[in-house]
Amino acid sequence: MMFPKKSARSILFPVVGSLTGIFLLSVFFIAAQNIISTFKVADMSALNNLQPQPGNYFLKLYGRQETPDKSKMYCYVDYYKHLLEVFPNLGDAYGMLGYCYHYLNNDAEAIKFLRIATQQYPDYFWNYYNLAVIYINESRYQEASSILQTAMDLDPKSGLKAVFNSQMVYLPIFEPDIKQSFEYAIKHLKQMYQMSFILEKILNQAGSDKKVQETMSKIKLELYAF
Amino acid sequence: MRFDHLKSLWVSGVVFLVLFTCGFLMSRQKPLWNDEIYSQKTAIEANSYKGLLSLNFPDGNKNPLFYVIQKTVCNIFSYHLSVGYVDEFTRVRDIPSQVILRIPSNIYMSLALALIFYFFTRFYSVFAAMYALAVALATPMVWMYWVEARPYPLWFLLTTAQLLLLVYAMMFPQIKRIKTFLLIHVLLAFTTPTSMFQITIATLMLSWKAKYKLKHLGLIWILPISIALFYYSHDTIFTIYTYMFYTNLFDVVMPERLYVYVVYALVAWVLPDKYKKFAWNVLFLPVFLLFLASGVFILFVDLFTKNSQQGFFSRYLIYVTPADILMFSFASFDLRQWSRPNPWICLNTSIFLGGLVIIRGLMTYRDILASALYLHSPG
Repeated sequence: MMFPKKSARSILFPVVGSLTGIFLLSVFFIAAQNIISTFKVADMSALNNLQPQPGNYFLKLYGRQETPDKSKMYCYVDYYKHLLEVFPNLGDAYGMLGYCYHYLNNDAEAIKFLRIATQQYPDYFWNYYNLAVIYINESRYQEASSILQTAMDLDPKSGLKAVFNSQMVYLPIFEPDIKQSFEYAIKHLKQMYQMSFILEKILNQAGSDKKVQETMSKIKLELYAF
Repeated sequence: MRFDHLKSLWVSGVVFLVLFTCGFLMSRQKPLWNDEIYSQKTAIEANSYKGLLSLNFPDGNKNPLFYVIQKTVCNIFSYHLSVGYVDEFTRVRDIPSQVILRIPSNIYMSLALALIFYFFTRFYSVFAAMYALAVALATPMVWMYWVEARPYPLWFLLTTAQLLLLVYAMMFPQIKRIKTFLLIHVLLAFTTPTSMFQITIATLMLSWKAKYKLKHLGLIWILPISIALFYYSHDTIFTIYTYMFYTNLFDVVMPERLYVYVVYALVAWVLPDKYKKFAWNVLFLPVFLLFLASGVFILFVDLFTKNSQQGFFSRYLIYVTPADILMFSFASFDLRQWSRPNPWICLNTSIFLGGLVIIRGLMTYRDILASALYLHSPG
């Protein structure tokens, strides 16, 4: 049976047209989904692009005993912030952010990140020490004393272990000479445990805040990444 | 719906303001990088206006017009870049510098996009203008160089103006815009020596399709080409082979759009005469092909970066991007227009072309994300 020409066309076009339309929409929908699924990979690429090179700037800095360069500190802030966007549970990055913000003269942000770091990365001595130093600088002696006490109660070994398990934050800083960096980290940790002991004694035995302030003004306290 | 001149101008003005505000916010989020600092230090701050025009400095790029405008902006704001050239790190956070140094670039790119919008609201429709703007905003080069204190946004703006003027000249061959062409070509020649290709292409098209007289063509070609050749002779031409031919080319021309142009050319070729009245946009096809060919030629012979230590970068071909944006917009309008007699074909054409723009937009967003150009404010 033959359809009249006009009717055939009036049926064929809507059917073929809508099928093609559905097919095109499906293709674009799948393509869009595939592209969106690669956003995470793009985030990782961004991380690689943001990673400051060379990564051992902090290590070099310690050797030379110089004040960190602000523009380089911003590079690290960008990197650690992005790292936390991609891996929100990376507690070690919070501590480094706190450290960087202090040298960018933003102690409010530094305290915020160091407090998170002490909660999310509780075995790491330096986060407590750095937080205590900022509190001392702000004359918040009672809080500083209690934090230093917590820091000294920590097992130094677990702190060191945490550093060497930190694939994305601390290990890149220690490269390329991990052995030498490790020796340096142990030596520095010993010194700063002693320092914490002294600071804690001053804070508790000086009597009034004024006396503490006088004593502290004679000591130059720095923050340390490790 | 098509707007008159005044209405188009108002709407495009609003578009410009919106885009400029976006650019302002983006410049706060994009740290300065080595090349911006290097140009500022070694060229703009270290030289007088005369020195900038005579190119007597070590910066590898020779873009006198950009340098002169940049120096003027710095003088207006009494601005001096305090950060030094960075050695190991490639990004520097300095928000006042990020904003002030990129004000001209932001104006150039926002103006170029607003110009496209104006042209389409004036001569096509508001829908066409929105579509062309979407095509432009889906293009990666726009986002890469929108806020960058380097000559690329200026080059983008001048190329857009040149191409739109060329389209206008082909639309209305009876109206001659010799002075405007001369001005744009001279500005282009002062922007980069590479512009000699696009100046020549535009002049050829004017003689072919807009029927300009030989003396007018000479006027809009000889002076700009002389300036471009003068600066080309002063350019430091490094002598390494371009390894990433396709990567560089497909950064400035979107590969999927090339397929659309093939379909467009074929459809235009076999199109019955009754549709030809709509097909004058096809005249832009040779313009685009010549732009593309000049880009391929530059890449192939490695004309401007022979043996550069860093090799060739796609930004040296940014002038092909406006041609690609306009070509895709024109091709889309014609294909949709030609398919109109049949609503089903028209619907499928619209889905196909719209889908390509959306997919390209997503890919651009992903690529910009991966490049980590725009970062959060450091707090």
